Amino acid sequence: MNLLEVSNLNVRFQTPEGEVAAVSDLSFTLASGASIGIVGESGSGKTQTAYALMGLLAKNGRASGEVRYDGVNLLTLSEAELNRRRGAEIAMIYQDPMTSLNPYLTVGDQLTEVLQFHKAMDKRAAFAESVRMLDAVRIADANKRMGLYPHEFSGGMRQRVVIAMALLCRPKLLIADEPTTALDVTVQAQILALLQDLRREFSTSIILITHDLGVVAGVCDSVLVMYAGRVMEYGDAQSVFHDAAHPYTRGLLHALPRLDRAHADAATTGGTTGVTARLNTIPGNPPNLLELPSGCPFVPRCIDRNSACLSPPKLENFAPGRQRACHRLIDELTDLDAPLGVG
Amino acid sequence: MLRFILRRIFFEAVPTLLVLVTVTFFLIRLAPGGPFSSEMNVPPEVKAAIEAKYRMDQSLPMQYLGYLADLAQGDLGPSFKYKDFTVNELVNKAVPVSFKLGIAAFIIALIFGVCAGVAAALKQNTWIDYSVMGVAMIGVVLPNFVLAPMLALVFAVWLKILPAGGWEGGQFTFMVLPVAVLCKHYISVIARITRGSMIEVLGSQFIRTARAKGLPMHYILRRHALKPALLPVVSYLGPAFVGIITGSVVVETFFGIPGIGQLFINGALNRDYSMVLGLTILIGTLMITFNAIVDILYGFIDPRIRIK
Amino acid sequence: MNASLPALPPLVGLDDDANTSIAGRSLWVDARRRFLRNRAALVSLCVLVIIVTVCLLGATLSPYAYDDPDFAAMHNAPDTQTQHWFGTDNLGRDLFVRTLLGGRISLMVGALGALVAVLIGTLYGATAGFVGGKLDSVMMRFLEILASFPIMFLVILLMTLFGRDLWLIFIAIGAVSWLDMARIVRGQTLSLKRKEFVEAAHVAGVSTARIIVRHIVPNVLGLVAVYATLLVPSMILFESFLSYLGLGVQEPTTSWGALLEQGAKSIEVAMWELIFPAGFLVTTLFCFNFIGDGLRDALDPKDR
Repeated sequence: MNLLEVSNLNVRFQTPEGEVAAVSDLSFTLASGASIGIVGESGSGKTQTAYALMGLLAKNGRASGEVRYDGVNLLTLSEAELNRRRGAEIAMIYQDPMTSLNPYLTVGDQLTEVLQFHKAMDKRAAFAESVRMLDAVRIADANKRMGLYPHEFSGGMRQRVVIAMALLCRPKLLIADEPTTALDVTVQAQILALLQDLRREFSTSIILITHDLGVVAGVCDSVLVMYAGRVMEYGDAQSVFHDAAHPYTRGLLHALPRLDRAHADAATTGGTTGVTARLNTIPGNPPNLLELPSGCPFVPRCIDRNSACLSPPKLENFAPGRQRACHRLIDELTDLDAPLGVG
Repeated sequence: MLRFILRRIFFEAVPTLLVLVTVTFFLIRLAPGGPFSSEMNVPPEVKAAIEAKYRMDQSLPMQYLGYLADLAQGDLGPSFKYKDFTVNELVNKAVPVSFKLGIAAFIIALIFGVCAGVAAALKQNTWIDYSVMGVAMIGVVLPNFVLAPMLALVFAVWLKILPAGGWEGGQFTFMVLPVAVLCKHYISVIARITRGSMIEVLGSQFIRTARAKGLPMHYILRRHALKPALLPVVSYLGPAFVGIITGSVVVETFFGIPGIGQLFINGALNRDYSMVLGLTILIGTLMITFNAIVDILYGFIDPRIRIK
Repeated sequence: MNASLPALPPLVGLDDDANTSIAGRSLWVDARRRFLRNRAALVSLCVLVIIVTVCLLGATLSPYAYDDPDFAAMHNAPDTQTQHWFGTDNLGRDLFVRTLLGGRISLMVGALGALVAVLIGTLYGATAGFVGGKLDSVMMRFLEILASFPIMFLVILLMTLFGRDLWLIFIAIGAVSWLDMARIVRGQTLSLKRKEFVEAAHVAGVSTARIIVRHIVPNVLGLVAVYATLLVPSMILFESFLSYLGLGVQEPTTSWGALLEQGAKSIEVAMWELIFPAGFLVTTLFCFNFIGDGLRDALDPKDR
């Protein structure tokens, strides 16, 4: 059985400017021990998806649809029933380790309270267990550091603390929202490796939320590409990367910096050396959720658009285990990696 | 931490006090028709005492130093107006009265203000929130000198359940109206500050983290949210203290309470220079000391300051 | 932007501007839209305009002068027959005319006091923030010392020493109320200073004074407007406080505070002597506060 089955998840916010549809008709499944990447730019609804799963939406937000975790719909649970699962079975890691820890409490206090609540441990046992977990995320001198405040840690160290905090109760599901975005590149790699190790060790399912396809490639089994709150493409990671079937996914992949391609681009644009090539981008801005076009949300930025795109596309299966939402045939899409004029 | 405290006292509080004393000393010498001009209508024995006290026969720097030395011993000199009293004698009688009044108002403002603010923040955009904020808005805008006569009219003249004025050694019934008037503004401000900071804290990422850990809301409030939400209130305590002392001037004048506020105003109206001067310095000292205490307290609460 | 990407194909029926219109909207247009939608602020603005107009022009409607005692008509209740619309005071002077005169004085003290405070505060804060370094820390240190002074008592001391002059009140009130203003402007300037357009001006050789006047001041203006609006009521309160204590404007001139002092004394025999000036004063204070809050929300839409 799947650990998590999300079907038709909708997230709406009431704002002074009108209702904002942050997430629309999102469905996916996650098997026990598997990992899925949710990819998109800012405003694509990926973080709000995570908050909806955790029951942590802001006060003006409402989630509808179904989120079945272990057969139970999380969206209909009471706060108390939800609290029994949050932190114990489902845990979350946030984007910014600078703000996600309470600056007024010691790291030790913030770790031990989780165990005291969920495992009914006494202070001493909770302390010992917390130190063990800090060791597990490779924080040296854990015993001493339990008494320090968050601002006395570096960014990478803090993210390790947040990860340790999330793993204290050996959760079955870990939601990681841009866990490496705020960190240095070298630290990023360490944190990702750590997540992989921990996933193996504790057999935790992971939802990895990121704007960086490169991160997903290393960690996830399947990928869900979101734009303006809607699923654009969904499938196993291998096929999405090698055979993207949506113009937006192709744009994202094309935007990844790659040394081998820089040279080819420079050659086609008449640059003298490969080094001068620019990074590729998707033209235009991320969507403004208040003023979405009536048809396909990506249409203002899409290089493959035609008149059919003015009506909303359906998310359809086009290959075993793969879905996409696009009016154009896959063969008609521009091949961004091919030299100009050929695709 | 000790260094922080010492620096706060010796590099901030003490120099500020010195500046205050110096400014007032030279101000009084600049004043036209000031205390040292011969036209001043002052009883001769008072005049003699003043001339002796201010060492009129000495040079200005010596006068200044002598004045500082007297102040250091807490000597505020003779009163211009009441020739049989020194300023110290008059002030000593008034200080306990003002203290009782001010501390009662201070404590009530703190307790009610924080409770109302937290309630409003938790029930944001409900009728509780709107009524707390509405009353607080009125409390901020309605001046003491409008509220005091209105309350006196209702409770003393019409209902006849509370005295319209007087002190009578600070009996409970005599304190109700003055304390109510005095604390009104600070309840309102503290409620607004608490509500604002509580809403901000509750919306912060670390509260979301705490909720994601499955902790119950009442625990999150007490353990995670209360301290950061109260920090702005702590930094308002200094200005609140100053304001309550200032407000007591109106309250004491209206209700006829023999505290330092009334003493100060009478001194100002009677041109009793040594009284006004002495009280300015006394009140300034109180304020500067209190502000230093609040800062040090703040340092104890906020771990990020403690380290520095 | 990117040479290797083909241009977007044109598409009839798609409004390409839909996505960019938000970014293009100017701060001020946006702010005005938000302010006009704030009903409390808008109503307050109208009420305030009415109050100011009445205070300036209303006195011509009455046959009485503000300093005309009538010992046959002391403490008379409001009466349309005698044309004492607000009644008379303890000396039989017409309260309607006196309330409007008091309003003129109170509003003038409020506006001028706020102006003085804004001028000093903005210049001080902008200079400290812009120059930075040693000068900044010295200037801020001076500010801290002033801030921990018993301001109100110092002003009263000044009044005692130098007499009670209306102009002295303006200056004293304004001169002691610029501290917050200076601190706010300094903070804003510091954050602006690090922005590219100021650095660009610096690199281009524009002089420091010119940068302050041309770049910093306009950008700080919104903030100044908000705090100036909130300063006016506190200036009015300050003046009322002094006048209530008998240290402000002197008879026969009057202000709302001075009228309130008299009203508080005779509240048992003549309630209207308190109610009319208090009504005007409190309404005005409310209006300024709502307008100030509205401006702040409009210019700094933090919680949208």
